[in-house]
Amino acid sequence: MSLPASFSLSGKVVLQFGGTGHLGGALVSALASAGAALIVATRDKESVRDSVAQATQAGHAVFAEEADIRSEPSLHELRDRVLAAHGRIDGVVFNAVSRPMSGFDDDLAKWEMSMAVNATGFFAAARVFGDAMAARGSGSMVAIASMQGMVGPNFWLYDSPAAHPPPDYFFHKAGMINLTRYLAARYGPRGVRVNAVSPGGILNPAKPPSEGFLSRYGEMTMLGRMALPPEICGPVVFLLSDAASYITGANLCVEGGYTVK
Amino acid sequence: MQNLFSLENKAVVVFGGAGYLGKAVTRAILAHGGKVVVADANETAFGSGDFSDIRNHPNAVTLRCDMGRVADIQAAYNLCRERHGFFNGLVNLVYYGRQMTIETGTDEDVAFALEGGVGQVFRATREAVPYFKEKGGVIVNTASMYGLSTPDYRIYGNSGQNNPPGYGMAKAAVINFTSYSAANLAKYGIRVNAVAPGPVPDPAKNPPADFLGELAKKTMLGRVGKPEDLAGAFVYLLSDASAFTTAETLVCDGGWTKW
Repeated sequence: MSLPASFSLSGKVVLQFGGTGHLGGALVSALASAGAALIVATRDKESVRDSVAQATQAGHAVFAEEADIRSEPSLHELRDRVLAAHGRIDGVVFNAVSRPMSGFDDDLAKWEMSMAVNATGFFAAARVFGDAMAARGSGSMVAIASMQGMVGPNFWLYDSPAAHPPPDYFFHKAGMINLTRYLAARYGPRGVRVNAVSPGGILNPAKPPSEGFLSRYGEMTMLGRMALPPEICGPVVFLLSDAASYITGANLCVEGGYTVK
Repeated sequence: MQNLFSLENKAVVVFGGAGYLGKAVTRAILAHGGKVVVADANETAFGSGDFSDIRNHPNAVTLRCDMGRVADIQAAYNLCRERHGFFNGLVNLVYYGRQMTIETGTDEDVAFALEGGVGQVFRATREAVPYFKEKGGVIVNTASMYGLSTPDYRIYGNSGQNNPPGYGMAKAAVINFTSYSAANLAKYGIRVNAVAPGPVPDPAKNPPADFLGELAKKTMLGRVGKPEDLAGAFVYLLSDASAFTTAETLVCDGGWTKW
């Protein structure tokens, strides 16, 4: 009889890109609690100081490293530092995102700034760390995509045209989901699984949207509400763990049924 | 966070829990603290040597169950309440059908395939609703890669393993019925999801080695799946780690349908 599936990340070295924001902080806490030795890669160490300190206080092994995913040399240096300090990399969570655009009519320079991080940066990081894990013959990569990479915007949801989501997000998140399948095909034979998690709207309790938005948004989901940050973390832990050993190329939706309704 | 995947608050009826995949799923539920009723048509499997760990587990109880009979399904749910004090999880791994082709299949063959593939899933869901209505519950159905894609006949050759048309027809219906149920039953606090396994051939059925090689080649991971590869997906969807996931079909196919 073989052992039952393990969801634990004990003994695994996990690298998380993007540790800020209400999801980034929740991921740091979740991955560390699941037992991973966690390295949070961020442009600015100061920005993750609190979440790293909290996890460290709770007795977890969490480290911050600075890196700029717009720069391939910076990613190579990050890889070398992580390997020197921890000897291996078992998991990568890609949660970095840049949101330079605020509306449809923005200057194209803002679109290009978005792509430098969200398209080129994602590919560069996935290649550097996919190659590093494939060299050892095992690993799991999880890309934090979005249901906005699967469906178009429903402008009815928003309070005013100023609140409409910008177009770049819908483009690069869709690209992320299909690049995930490309990476899964490329790295599968070398033991590296690659999957996406597509959250729906995540409630930021510190900055809640209007009552009107919450009620309209609730109607669009089956569960009648926005997601809470920890609800996105369980799926990520699962996909990183050995319990998901035959899952690759998948896009796991965590949107309370929004895209299926 | 430690207990994110714990099933200590779950009492689960596992239809088909004594089968090749079912045993691994049942073991994983038990290992994560869940209580189980194994309901299976194959009563003799309960007595077999490789079922003894489940048979002797304090949190497991077995029951012979014919998915065609409403009374059997209700008996499984009642047994769960009696033995475990509550019933709030349902896993359905059952499938039954016949070999058939488009040219030779009768209307009755198709009706049987739909019954064994999705009719009994509907029945098990309908019968669970009165039990789950008050305090919520979670349902995990079993779809298939062939509910999402169609067999590539080049790999089947003369293997005798040809996949009949009724199978994918019913498994596609399971995927849609899963999301329909999720939308309809959310009001009772019931989540409904499915797992879509890829190739997980049972060695006991002696599949030819060259056919196994063909199956492995169709996956990105370059291998067929083992029951233990899939058990985690069922535990995940039963657990509170997936509290915001409903109407979803979690594809566990080694990448088969993604290229």
